[in-house]
Amino acid sequence: MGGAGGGEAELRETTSIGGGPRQAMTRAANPVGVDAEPVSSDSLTSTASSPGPSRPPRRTRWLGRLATVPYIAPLLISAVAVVVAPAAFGLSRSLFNWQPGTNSPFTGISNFKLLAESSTFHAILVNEGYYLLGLPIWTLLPLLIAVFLFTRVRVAGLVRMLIFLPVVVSPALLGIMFTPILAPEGLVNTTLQKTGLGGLARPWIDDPSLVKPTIILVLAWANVGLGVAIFTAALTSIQPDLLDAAAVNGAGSWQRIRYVIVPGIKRTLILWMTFQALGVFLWLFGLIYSLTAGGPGNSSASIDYDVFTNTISNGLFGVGAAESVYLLAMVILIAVAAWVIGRRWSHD
Amino acid sequence: MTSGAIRLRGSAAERRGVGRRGRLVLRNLGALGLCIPFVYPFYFLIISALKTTQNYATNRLGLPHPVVFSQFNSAWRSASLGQSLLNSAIAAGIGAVVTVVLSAPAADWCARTKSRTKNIVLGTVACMWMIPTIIWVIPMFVELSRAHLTDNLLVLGFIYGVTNTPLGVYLLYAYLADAVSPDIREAAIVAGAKPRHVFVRICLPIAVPVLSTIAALAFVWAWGDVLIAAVLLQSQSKWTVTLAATSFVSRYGISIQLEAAAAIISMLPMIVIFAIGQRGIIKGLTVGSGR
Amino acid sequence: MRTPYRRLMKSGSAVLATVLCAAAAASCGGSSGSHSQGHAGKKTLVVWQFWSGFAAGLQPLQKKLDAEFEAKYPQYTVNDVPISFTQMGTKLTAAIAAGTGPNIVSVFPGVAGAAYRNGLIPLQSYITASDRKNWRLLAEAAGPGGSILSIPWSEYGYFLYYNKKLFKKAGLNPNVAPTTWQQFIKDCQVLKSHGITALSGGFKDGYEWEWWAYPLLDQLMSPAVTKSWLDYNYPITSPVFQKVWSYIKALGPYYAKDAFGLTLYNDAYNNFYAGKAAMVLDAPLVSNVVASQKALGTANVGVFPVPRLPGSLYPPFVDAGPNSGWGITRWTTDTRGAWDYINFMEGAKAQNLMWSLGHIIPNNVQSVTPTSNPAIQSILTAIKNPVNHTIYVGFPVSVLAINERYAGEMITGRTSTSSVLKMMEQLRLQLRPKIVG
Repeated sequence: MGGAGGGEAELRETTSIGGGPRQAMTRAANPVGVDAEPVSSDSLTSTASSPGPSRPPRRTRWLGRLATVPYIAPLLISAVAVVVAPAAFGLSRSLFNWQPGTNSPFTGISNFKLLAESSTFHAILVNEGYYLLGLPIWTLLPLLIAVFLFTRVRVAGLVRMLIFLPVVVSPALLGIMFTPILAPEGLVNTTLQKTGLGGLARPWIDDPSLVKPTIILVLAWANVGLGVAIFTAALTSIQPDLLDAAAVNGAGSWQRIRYVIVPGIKRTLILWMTFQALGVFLWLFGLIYSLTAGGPGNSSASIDYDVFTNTISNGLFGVGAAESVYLLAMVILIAVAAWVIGRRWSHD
Repeated sequence: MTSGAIRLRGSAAERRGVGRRGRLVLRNLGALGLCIPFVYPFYFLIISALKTTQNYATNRLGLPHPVVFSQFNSAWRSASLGQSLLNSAIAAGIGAVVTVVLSAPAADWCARTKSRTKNIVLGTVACMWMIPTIIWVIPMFVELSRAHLTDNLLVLGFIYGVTNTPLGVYLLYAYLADAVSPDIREAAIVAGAKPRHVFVRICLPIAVPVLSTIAALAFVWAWGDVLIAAVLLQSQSKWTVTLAATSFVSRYGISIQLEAAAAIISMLPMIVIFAIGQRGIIKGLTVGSGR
Repeated sequence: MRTPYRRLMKSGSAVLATVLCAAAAASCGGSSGSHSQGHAGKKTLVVWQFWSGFAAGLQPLQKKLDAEFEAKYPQYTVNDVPISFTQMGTKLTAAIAAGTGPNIVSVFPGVAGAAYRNGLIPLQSYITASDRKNWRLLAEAAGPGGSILSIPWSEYGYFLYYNKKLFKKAGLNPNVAPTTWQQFIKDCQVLKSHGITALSGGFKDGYEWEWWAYPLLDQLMSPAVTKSWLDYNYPITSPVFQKVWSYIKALGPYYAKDAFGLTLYNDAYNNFYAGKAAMVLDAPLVSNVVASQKALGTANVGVFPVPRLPGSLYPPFVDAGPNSGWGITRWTTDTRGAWDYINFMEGAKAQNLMWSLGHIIPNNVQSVTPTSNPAIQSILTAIKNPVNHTIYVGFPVSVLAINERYAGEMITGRTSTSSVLKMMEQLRLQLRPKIVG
């Protein structure tokens, strides 16, 4: 214990946490793709491995495999039992007229056809495309704020904390919070009227042409804090010398952002944008449910909200399951696209 | 957290001749001004809940006059928010613990492995995130009711824990992959340590800030869930606070102020926890994802 | 162990221990369902109801009724769970999927209840002849095929309240309310020309539209068409629906300009109480009459039924009928107990309490509804008209949800009424196997 303790102390020193210059140099020198794999040597799962190329004997390899089990088994078993198996079952019901608890006849691809021909479904796909247009705002806003706070602003810590506050609000409560703010006689319109800008007052969530941009802004409000925290971390990994060099060479703030900062935090940017894009398909339900209920008409409904509508409100479980299959396909598409774009971008 | 002092030499303001101190003040004021839109909605929610109906109808923007707690009283009593706060604490607390317990070893394993099984683990975890909740929650509810495990806060907490493991695995895996390099692991192995020793004595201590962040975020997300709680919980005495607060929104709508009061009560613990631990939480996030 | 780690372990295990203890305590009782035993060998009846969320003060009434039931049937304990209407759908669906849940549940009659027929017992065989005599709303409770899944509990009727002062201000006789549709529209025009908003309402939550639809459809659907509709055999795209939807759309100009963004609950009522509009359509909740009188002065509030359309197939009547009722679930272990509960709730004693404590119009013909309020008396009298009927029980709830979502769009003309009716018909057909089989 004593010897190991001493060794540990040594190890702690050399392993820096966060953005020390040595760490930053290592990272800057080793740009990695979207899927981080530890750069270097092989699995150390075998307990009695000796460094070197020789493979351990079969028995030790099996012992090694056995040793991994307690690490990943609880997670895998729980995940499968709680989510993956029920989800697989649920998705498979897309081929049936699924009525949980009673007779559910096989209907083949009719649920898929129904959706493909449904004008409502088409409208919802258009909605999703529209929501994706929020990506620039959801990325640029936290990025610019993070960069701004990074530059000799003493109250940066306090500001970051206050901006992070909305992250704590759950999506269902977000809708309840913003209903009186966006109502026709709500906070926004009343303020506009009081400040003489009454002409700008609008039915923010009751006009189909305004509801989606409004939701994009509400989501921006809710997520900026998280983005600022994550981007700030990424910014610490950029070598200060690079930015100084750029400034000395006469680069303005915008150019510094474009040519030094953005490339420097490429990976974080890609990850953030991927999650925002995935969020458009997977996590809009809570907000839409409590703010607009998909309305006016269907102009603010997202796919996951429509899955809920079909499944619970309409009781068409099979259709809901088929819609989830479509949704899963789109999500996989986005994840793959993000991975490909990420690879290509980081290798520029 | 120190803001890296990046100098922006040659900026327009400097060229204009505005004093450096002046610019500093301007920048700080601007930064504080930036906070206003993020804090104001909370302020508005609170003052709305403290107004009488009359006051709210006539003076939307001003301070409450008089200040009344009747909305809070009403909300507290009619939805049994006191009991539900405790229920949420239990379910979310268990969820946070379970998330950490399940994801930490797996993240450590992923950080030191290159075998193909790693893709299975990461893929399974990613799957959990990519499937809309409504699709698996009903079949899972059927499973649970066969085992007579519905209406049970322990089980709900466990489910929260499992559904939040992607966050834990991702953050911790990325962090450990960077912070504990293979050289260190190798050195430890050479010194006679087993992987579990490396995990417990090196990785976990180093990862404490990230683990706290994972626990905190898992807690917050479990606290805010409505769908899973609505399906799994039957008795009113078991309801979580977010479920209770949103149950006010019935077909026959009720007063905005009552909803606001209920929303504040259910958000308050989150905000308090956050205010206390925000430094650690944000640090853990930045540390865990800084690259 | 390193210090920070040890600290984490200590506090972590302390937290874990506390949480587990608390959880164990809180989770005692496990899953609640019809199997759970109450205290001292009593049988527990689990009731899921949404009606007590319809207005303030109804929850104590529910508790009182439960207490009276337990006093009469001491072998039972009632476990009453109030669930919001919107969450009831989710929970009942999950319960049906799992085959376990409450014994008794709030459910609307007719087609709305038939959507949950997989979880409910048909109750025709339990109803005795004297029940049929006493529970007069039973006549309209059956779903397609005649199955009764919900015993109606209370009655509603659609009426308009009007502000006599505003009528006078516009030069209209405050003691004469319009009886025909032409008179009604004319009065709206006169009010509008005097700068008064004729109708207080909002289309954001969508109910305003369907509250007009029911009384107007009633008038134009013959008994044969009504029967076909209630048997789920009449399309929503039929001319009678198109016509009524056009009538409603034509009311648009007589609402406030931003009505599409206002809600029925509660903007419509609040604006009427504040004197901002002359008339409001209501399905009483007689308590709303009382609130109007309180806000505007008893002498200033008048009540009249929905005016008669040209081409109405009936003498003047009111759209009145069964409000939500009670159903018994398929998995209940104590059908007798559940039926006793419903019987009690339908009995004169309970129904009298409903009126005296909650102003809920009873179903039981033997109950008494004393009132000294002339406006309320006129409502009660109008409701007893034998010609009264309703067709609302033929709408699946999710089909109505489409109409509700598009109400604002239709009243502003952004979406055509025929396209919405088409969407509703599409869903109605998709739901056929589920509702009718």
